[in-house]
Amino acid sequence: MAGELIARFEKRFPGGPVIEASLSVGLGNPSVTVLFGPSGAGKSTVLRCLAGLERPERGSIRLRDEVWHDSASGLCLAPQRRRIGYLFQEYALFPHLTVRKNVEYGLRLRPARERRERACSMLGRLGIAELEGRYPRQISGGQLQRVALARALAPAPRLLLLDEPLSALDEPTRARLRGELRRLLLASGVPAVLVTHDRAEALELGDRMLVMIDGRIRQAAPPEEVFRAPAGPDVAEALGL
Amino acid sequence: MDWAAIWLSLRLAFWTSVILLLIGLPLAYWLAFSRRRWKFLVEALVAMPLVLPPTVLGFYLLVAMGPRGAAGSLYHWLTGRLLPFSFEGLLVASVLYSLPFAVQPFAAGFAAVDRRLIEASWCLGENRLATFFRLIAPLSLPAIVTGMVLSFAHTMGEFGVVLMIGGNIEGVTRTVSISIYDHVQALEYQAAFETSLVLLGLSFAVLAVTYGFGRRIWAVWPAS
Repeated sequence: MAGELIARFEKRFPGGPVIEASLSVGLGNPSVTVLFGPSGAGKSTVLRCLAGLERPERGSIRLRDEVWHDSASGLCLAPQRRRIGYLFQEYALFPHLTVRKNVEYGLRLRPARERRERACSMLGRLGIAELEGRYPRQISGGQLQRVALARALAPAPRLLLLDEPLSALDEPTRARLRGELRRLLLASGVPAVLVTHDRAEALELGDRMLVMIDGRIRQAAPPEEVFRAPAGPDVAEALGL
Repeated sequence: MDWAAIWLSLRLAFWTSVILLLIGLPLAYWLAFSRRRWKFLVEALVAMPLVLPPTVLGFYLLVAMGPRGAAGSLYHWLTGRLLPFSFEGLLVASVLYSLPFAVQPFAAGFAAVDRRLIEASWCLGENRLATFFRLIAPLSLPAIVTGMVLSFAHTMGEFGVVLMIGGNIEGVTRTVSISIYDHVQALEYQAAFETSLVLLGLSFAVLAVTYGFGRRIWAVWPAS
């Protein structure tokens, strides 16, 4: 099912910068859109607005013909009703539930057997089936990330939002998991928007790259193209060129 | 030994804790998560019994519960009975008197739950009510138990409020502390000693079991 997520909005924080985001994300083929920018550029805020965790002051967000946010009519769809998957920076797994119960969390309305089967098959697909009975505090950082991914994907979201998914890991693990994360994301079949401030991640993970500086999206193109021809000196600087 | 008084105090403390669980959880949730500007007024109101002399609280309650008070006349109209000097009246007073002992630990527990976990639950499609029962309440269980135990213990030991609105009717409103006071007034030191010892032992046992059960440091007094 093709279509686009189109967002054009403005978000202000008291005493903070103004974020004016204008972006579109294709929902056709499974693809990874990287939202890249230096710390404090407003990337996470954009992601939170897309998820419905923050409310923009002005503008609109729509997925295909479905309106998620429209400040003109005062409409703002709650995160519960957007059917998205969100991967938090520190994964935010529920500490009182086992890995399997974490993955089942978003499936409450389905019968118990189906819940269990879906959770197990999800864990199997991510190669961590043997962890189902463990608690989050008993597994490693890389495993936590996969559990969080399994939990976000289990309810079959229409869009996956990832906030710095590798930043909680140590450097060797991060390098190792980069390629793997891209494979998992493409295999899931769910289009993804991924926030990062790491250019190696942007280059390796993204099909498309949005460069965000000081609250604005300055360039949108495939990563190779962004690196080859940055839209301006500020973009070049953000890329470290 | 005044077993009737001990039994009465236990019943009163039990029902007070149960009622405080029912009204304390939603109130604490609101206090922990609301962004209303006038929230501090409600916080102050809930904390009032901590600083008010029990006699003051008891006096106002007596007036409000009396046949000429709004609450009292409503209760009389509904049930044909009067609240002051009855077990029900004592229960109402105890709930108000112990309100901060339940609500403050509850609210501190809820507020300590990582915001991102709550947002993760929302993004997984769960509304606020489901998020409360599946996530916030289980993670705040030590705080909820603490609040219940404190309300129970506080009600077991209350004196001034009971005296003001309950009086001293055996089996109806004569609680342990009133009974001890009576014994001392009558110079029956042996009886006072025995009843006091029961109360002392019971309080220690309840707190020891609670702390031992949790095996982690629960804040008796919330940080905020």
